[in-house]
Amino acid sequence: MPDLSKRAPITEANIVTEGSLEASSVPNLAADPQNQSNGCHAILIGFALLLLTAALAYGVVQNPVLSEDFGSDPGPALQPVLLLWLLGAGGAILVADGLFRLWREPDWPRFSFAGFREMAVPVAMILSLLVAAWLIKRTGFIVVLSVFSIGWGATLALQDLGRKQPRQVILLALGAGLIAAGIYLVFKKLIGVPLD
Amino acid sequence: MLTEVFNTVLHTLTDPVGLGLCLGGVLVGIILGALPGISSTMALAVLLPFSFGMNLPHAMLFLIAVFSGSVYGGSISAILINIPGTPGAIVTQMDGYPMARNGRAGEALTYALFASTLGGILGWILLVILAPLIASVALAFQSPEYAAIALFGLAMLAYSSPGSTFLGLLAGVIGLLVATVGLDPTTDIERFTFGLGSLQLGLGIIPAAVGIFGIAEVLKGIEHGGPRLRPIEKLSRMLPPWQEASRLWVTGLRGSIVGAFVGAIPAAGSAIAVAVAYAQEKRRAKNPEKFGTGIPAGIVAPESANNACVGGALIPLITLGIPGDSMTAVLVGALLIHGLRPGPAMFEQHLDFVAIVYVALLFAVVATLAIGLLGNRYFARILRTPRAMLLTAVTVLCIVGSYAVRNSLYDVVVMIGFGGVGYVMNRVGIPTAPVIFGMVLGPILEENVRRSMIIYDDWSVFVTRPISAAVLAISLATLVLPGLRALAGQLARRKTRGV
Repeated sequence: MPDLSKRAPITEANIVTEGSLEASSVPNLAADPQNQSNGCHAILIGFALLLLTAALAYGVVQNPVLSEDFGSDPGPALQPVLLLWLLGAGGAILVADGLFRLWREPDWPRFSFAGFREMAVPVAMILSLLVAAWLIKRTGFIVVLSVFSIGWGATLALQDLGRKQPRQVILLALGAGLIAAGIYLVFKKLIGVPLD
Repeated sequence: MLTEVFNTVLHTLTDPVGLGLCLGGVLVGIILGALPGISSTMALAVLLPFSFGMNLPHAMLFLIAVFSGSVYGGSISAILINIPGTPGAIVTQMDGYPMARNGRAGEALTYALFASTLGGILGWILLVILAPLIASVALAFQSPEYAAIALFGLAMLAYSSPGSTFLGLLAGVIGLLVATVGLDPTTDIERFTFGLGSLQLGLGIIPAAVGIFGIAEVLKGIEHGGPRLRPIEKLSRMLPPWQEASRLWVTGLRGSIVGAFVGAIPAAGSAIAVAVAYAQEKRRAKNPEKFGTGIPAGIVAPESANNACVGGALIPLITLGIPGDSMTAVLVGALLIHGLRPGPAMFEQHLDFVAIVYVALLFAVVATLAIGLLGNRYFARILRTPRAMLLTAVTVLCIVGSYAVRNSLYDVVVMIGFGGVGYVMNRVGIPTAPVIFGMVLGPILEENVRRSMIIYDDWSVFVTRPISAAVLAISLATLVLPGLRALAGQLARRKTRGV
């Protein structure tokens, strides 16, 4: 898979290539040597798309009204069904391409958990966002936003500064909390959003 | 009608609140654009909710100001720390940073500022000249033509997406599918709701854009810790020598023309425009080997192109209702919130809105120049903003902003979901902007295909009407030709190896 985050550094040579619009044209899912570490992700993403297609196809099938006759109107099912075919085909191509390369190219990278470790903090952030959204209804915006900001402010400050500068970490966390309170006030008082 | 337009323009010109919003928008736009990790699209997406409480003229003044300011802001970090603040500034760093390292940081910023202004003005001129012409032609378009143009937008998007055409197309399909969730607007029949009442509302463009361009980028930013950025703060003299600067007018003009025209191609975007402008300037140069060593032409060409794109990208938006880039895709969300659907009918029914767009863009360009001249010396300090505070503030803005769309926590959950999906897509190299484009273009495509069929009751209508057929042929060629060219290249290489 072409992974942008691991693309070759920007040089004049590849700027000239991109300038002539060649960079975007080749649908080769693992050709870029910079991206070899993510090769097997193509198969995983392909399977995920096939699962999504199956789930959405179930959504169409279990709703027979969608397939009724609407006269000359092709009906509300036309676009979703066509798109599901395309999505399914896309997923199948990713899986087939990945499997073919695993079979034909012994050097193609095998699955690795290394990339997943990097995702630990972002996954924690997503979970905390979902918890925050759940708590907002119960405790109100200001409490949730303040706690969320101070918590994440401290976490990110620790990530940057380590534990050797506790005073700086506390100041940054409190600063993040204050900014959150400021944003809350601007939206509530100036824009009139009912943030209760 | 013209009196109404004149009154609107006059009122906008004399309205202190509007002028204040324009100046504030440019300032915030420059600051956010300058911060690495905050793209222009992200700046626009997270600041969009601030416009909900404004009337339409104020909202447009503010948003276009943010748009214009952030595009220039991207060059500041490119020049001072060698990290482009926005994708449009990726080329600026190649000569901007070496020039700053050579002790000419202040001059590099001034070159970027004046090139941005020149590009902004030329983009504006092109918008003012071309938009009414295209709209007058587009007024004759009927449903088959609109359906074909929506498909063309998707084809261009897939073609110009970073990575491969195939993955861009796949992301566009996901966006089109997302747009079908909820009640079908023609028959009110539920699609993909799975019995959940909240899904009947569909998945909003703004929460999705805030998630994909805001939260997804925050998630990427928190993967690792990082040392505090140390920008070049010693700017020395700000004004470059007149003799050197006066020779660069033509470079700026060429870059602006490239930028404005590339920007006007649906979905092409500034990253392509700057690359084309830089490559063109290098090809024409007497000493091409000097590019990349810190020469002013290497800043002026991409920066003028980058800012000319702003006006260019607004052309397909207000004439055809199709976004020119990811930023104008976010602007569509803002217009829908204010009850406006962009398209050629605007030139007949909402000419005052078109006038506001013209005035707002010109104001924004002038305000960017003024604020840049006053603030360039101080913007380096912005780059020292601690990451912990910045990313937390952006996250809070995303939460509150997506809630403010409909005062609903459902939109917050949608935003978080799209943030997670966008993050995964970024990690595996699938472009995310096509998802939002798909969400914008999906309803246009479906509505016009179905309306065409209801009126003509014949699928051949799309290929028997000349404009529709031509647009479809171009779209097909856009998708197929790169693949064929790659295949031909592979075959040629195999043949050579065989010999």
